[in-house]
Amino acid sequence: MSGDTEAMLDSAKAEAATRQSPVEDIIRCESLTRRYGAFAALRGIDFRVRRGEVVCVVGPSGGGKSTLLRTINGLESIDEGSITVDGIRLPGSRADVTRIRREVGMVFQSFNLFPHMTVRRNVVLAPMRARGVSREEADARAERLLSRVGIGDQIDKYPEQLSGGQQQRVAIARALAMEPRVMLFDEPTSALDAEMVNEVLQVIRELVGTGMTMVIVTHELGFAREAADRIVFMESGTIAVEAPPARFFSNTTDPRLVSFLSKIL
Amino acid sequence: MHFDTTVIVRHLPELLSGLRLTLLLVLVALAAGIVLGMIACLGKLLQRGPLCWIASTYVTVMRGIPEMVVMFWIYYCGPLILGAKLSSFAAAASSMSLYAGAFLAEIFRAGILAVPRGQTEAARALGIPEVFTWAEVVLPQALRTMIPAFIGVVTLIVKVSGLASAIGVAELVYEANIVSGQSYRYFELFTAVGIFYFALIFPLSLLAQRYERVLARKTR
Repeated sequence: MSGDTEAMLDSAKAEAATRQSPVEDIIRCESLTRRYGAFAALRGIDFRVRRGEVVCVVGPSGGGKSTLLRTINGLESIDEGSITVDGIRLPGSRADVTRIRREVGMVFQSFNLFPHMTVRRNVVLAPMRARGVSREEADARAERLLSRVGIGDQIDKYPEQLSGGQQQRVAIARALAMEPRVMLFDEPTSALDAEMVNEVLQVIRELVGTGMTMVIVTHELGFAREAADRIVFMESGTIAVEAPPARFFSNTTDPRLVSFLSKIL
Repeated sequence: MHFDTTVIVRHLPELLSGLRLTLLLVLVALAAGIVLGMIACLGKLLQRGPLCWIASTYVTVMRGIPEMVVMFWIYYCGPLILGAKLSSFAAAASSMSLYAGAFLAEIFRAGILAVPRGQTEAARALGIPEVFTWAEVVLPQALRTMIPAFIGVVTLIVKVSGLASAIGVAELVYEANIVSGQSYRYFELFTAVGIFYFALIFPLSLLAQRYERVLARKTR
């Protein structure tokens, strides 16, 4: 595919996102700083995500990608700056943190399913305990979501009886069961064997089709190129480059990105 | 020398009454020990503040001195401090509870810390309230890993209960001592005592072993 066609696809995608809803930031991070002792994992990050937008975050390990995601749903505290998610602002009260977490779904690299619960129980727990959804409603939701991610027939198994790819798909269904407005993926395929990467990416691709707002930290550059509206390159706790895929991959001006791409591609 | 089993049969009522008191001591010590252990565990998990300091001191001291000293200390020195004499049963039960509590505190803490951080993070990321995160995610997993070590403490407490004979609690060892003294049949009667203790402890050890195998299979 030539660069021009890609650029056209990008602008079409951007247009589609704009059409779905007025241009509005659902996530807005301003001068976000997070330190671990003397080490700054995030150094004054400004980062915005529009409603319906799919943003992939790439970059070398230790660059702050995961920390950014974890800060957005309150798993890491904020040292300076602020985050607003759908009108809720952090730093805020404990109640604000909980409200944000209910609106933001998170998928972890290591799945983190609850091993002592069946797949069904894993998915119904949060809607019942955090949203007060009835057992029947939560069950129906779990069945619908699990068959959507292709796990419908394994609903009464325990996580250890499933493959890594299946576990990660359950984790995606579990996050979706809260009906979040934003989904965050923290290297969702990094812990998977090569042959399982695709089944998980396929589920994420289908989510892209539903217009879900997503921020995806990934090392799968091919996937980022095809699925993202915008790619963000993070390095040393800063956003070094931010561009639609076509422009991102043809970037030759930022030496850090050029060096990163040359190592990966 | 010959082994006269009829002595055992003849003194069975005394031995069984002693066994009954042994079991009572163990049950009281475990019940109170679980409560003390939970409080001390909470204190240590807090990592700072007065409760943490008290809990750490309590656990360290109790684990560092013999149970017999604790029991004698409470029985003989208790009256000087409390101004009232504890019954021998109360002194034995309370010292055994303190002892069990210190060991259980460490077992509870280790069990909770063994639950991977990703579990609480996943529950929090889903917005599940803290109460349910503990009740449905952390504690059920922690309890499973604790079971073998918990059974270990139960067997320890069963064995330690024999010390209560020294302050006059009429449990198994005490009764055996009395009837042996009357009949001079120490050999038969203390063999019977050994068999009684073994019959209590062996099934527990088997249970712990079986459970450890189950756990080993589950955590691949």
